[in-house]
Amino acid sequence: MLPVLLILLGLSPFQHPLHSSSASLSDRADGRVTLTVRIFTDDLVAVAPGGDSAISSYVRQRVRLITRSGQPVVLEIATITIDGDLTQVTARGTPVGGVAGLRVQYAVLWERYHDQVNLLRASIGGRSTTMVFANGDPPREV
Amino acid sequence: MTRIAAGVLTLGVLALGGWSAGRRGTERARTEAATQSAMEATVRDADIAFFKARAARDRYGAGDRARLASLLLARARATGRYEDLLSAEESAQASLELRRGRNRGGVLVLINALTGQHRFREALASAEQLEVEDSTDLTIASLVGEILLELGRYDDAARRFARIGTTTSNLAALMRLARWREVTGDVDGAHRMLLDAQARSRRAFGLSREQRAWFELRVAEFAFRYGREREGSEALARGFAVSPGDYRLHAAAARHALTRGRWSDAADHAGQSLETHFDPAALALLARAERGRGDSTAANQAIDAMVLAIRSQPGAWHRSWSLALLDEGRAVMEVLAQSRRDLEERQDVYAWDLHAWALHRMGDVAGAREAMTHALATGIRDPDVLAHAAAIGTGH
Repeated sequence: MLPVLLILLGLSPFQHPLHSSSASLSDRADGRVTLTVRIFTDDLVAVAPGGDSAISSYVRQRVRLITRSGQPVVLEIATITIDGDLTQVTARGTPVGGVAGLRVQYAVLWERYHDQVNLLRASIGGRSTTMVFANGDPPREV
Repeated sequence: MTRIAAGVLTLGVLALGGWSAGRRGTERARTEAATQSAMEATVRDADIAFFKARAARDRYGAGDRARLASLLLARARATGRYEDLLSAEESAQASLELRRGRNRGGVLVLINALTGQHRFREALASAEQLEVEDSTDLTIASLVGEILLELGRYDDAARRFARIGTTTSNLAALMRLARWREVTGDVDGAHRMLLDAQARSRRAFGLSREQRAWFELRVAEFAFRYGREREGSEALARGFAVSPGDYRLHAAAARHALTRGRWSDAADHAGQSLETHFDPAALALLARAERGRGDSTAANQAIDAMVLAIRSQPGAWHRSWSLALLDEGRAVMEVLAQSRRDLEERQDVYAWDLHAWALHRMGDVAGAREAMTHALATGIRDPDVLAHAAAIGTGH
């Protein structure tokens, strides 16, 4: 088995660790949205020590959904999952007035890394898009 | 709020990522493939934990450390995680410190870990030592040849590849030989070898899904590069069917979609690639896709993030990043400086090509032409290199 595992490495695009996180946002017919955020656990624990409640607060504070009228969407944390070195936090909420004009602020770990880049894949209203949030970026319409 | 078991997340991500997994396949087949890929990853992770524990208990277990190193290397390949690559090197070194003799596996892992970090000179020293010990081993000969190829020592590489011949059934040797053929301008010969390796990989025992997908990826990339549209699409679909959610396949699919002007497809694939593995080069793909569909704001945001991420990297930048920066007209001076340093270490075709392109972007016409002459010296027919040559005003 050993030689078989070895034969292919070649020129894989390895790099030093880059500071990033990813998230997905989707809507349902009943108007609810689901947000799932994946962050490296060691980073998350560093910025939100204190277990699940601290993680929940941190994610609510750093990932904000804002309706067209400027009202924040109340996010209810549904699950917190640890898988290897990643933690996945899933939250749900209902934007008052619907998803049209919904804006997102995705600012996790900006206070920790100046080069933190957060990626959000949004599937809202039948349209998919990937949004990139570099440190300091303002909220953006989905 | 609930906590759910590890492993479910992996499966979920793979299943979600498999939306485009070989669009000819059924939903059921995709789900099954995603499940099996996730299971392989779970077993691999469990094996890593197992061998880590054994190595911790047994201070003299060279074999366990070599096995652990190979598993870490496999995970590094599948996920692109740099930390695993470093751990693989560390474990292989520890194995070799305990037992240098009769530890070919340990040396091979070490060489691959070094190569993955682009520490080619160190990798070459170890590989040449293996070659001295067994000059008949085709895997070793091709490995030495490949490293020499990376360093631009083409005459030395030619001697290794000449020893292998054209009728080998060794998968590793076939793939490296194909690359040699391509770099030296024998596109048809390279194509034949890639297809041969692809066919053999489909029948081979002991390959993981990720590895099987890698063969399809290589064929797809080659085929798209040389305008073999149907062959490339089929290989890509097959790769997705074997390993749904593979970030490298998504990146390849995005690149291809860009060439066809399918902007939304390109954006989707780039996004999915980034979701699994954050690579600045994929941000460049996303930016081009967004620009193509008319969203210059999103494109600029992706490019700004790419520049930020690349500039934060210590040491040498990947060439794909440097080319993306040049294409976007960003950090051109820095790329030129990087390409000069790169050439001090490696004088291969692609080092010269990058240097020529950077000089061209700086407006140094004579310098760009001279550098491009070096790049074309092997007779390479890679359309990307030839496009640079044409823009610079140098060509065959």
